[in-house]
Amino acid sequence: MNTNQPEGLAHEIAVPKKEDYHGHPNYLIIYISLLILFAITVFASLIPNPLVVFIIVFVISIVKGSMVLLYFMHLKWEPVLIWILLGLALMTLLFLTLGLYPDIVSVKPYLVTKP
Amino acid sequence: MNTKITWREIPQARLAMWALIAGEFAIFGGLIVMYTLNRLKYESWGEMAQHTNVIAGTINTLVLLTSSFFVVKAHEAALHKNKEKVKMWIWLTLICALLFLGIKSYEYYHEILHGFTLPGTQLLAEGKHVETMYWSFYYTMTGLHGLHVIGGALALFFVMRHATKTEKDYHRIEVAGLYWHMVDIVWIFLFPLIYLIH
Repeated sequence: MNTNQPEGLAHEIAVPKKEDYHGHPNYLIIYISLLILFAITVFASLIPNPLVVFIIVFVISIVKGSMVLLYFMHLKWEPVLIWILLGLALMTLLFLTLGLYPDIVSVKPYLVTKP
Repeated sequence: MNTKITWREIPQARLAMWALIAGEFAIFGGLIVMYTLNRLKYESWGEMAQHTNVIAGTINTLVLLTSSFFVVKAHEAALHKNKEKVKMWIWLTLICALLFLGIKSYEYYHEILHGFTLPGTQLLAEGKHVETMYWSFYYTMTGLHGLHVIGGALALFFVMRHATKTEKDYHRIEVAGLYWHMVDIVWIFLFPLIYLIH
């Protein structure tokens, strides 16, 4: 029987390949990395310039989100179809942003204060 | 060790969950994009953000990150049909979910007490219409996220109970776990945007 055995679990019940086609990174290392990035995010927020804070925390959020996607959700080992699905969601977001941007920037604050 | 599979071999449940997750990313992403564009436009939103409880948000972020680790350990145990470990990791995740919701409720209680509500009646009376929009976004995004936390926790509970009772369908732990990780990713973006950028 073909099996994939994550290290340290060889004594347990063998896993059929079709149920376990993805890799098993060291989840503890990923978790600790996420905590370190989280700590950096919190400390970065102490910088007095909001735009700089925004850029730093947004970039770190993208890195953290990608780590969860790639390693905890095993996206790294998924076929291209799953990547296309997520790509479509991102494209929807891009079109939404492009569509909404003119509306949001063109609304004058007085229109909001005096509806 | 891992094996590459083709798209035809993707387990149906996992494919369906990924499709759902893609939709969820579009929904939450849309909210985040709109929030960000408005936040960059209205400086007074920064003042409103100062009224959020950063300590509570920080603890909640730690709780969700930790719960994601617990879920992936539950998935690992489920692959080996280790009933006891599956139970242990899922129960730890559920405790994290309850803790998250408890802390969020505490935050809501104090914010509402200070007049920061979804309709923003008090702020509107003061003529602060732009500031009211901040709290509308705040409650919509965090409230919708909270509902997903509840949904994810219930899904994890039921698949865990079914798998451990019947000794089958352990793969559902991973599928429900994918949903839980999605909830975590959404919070990874919400936390700094809402709490940290003043």
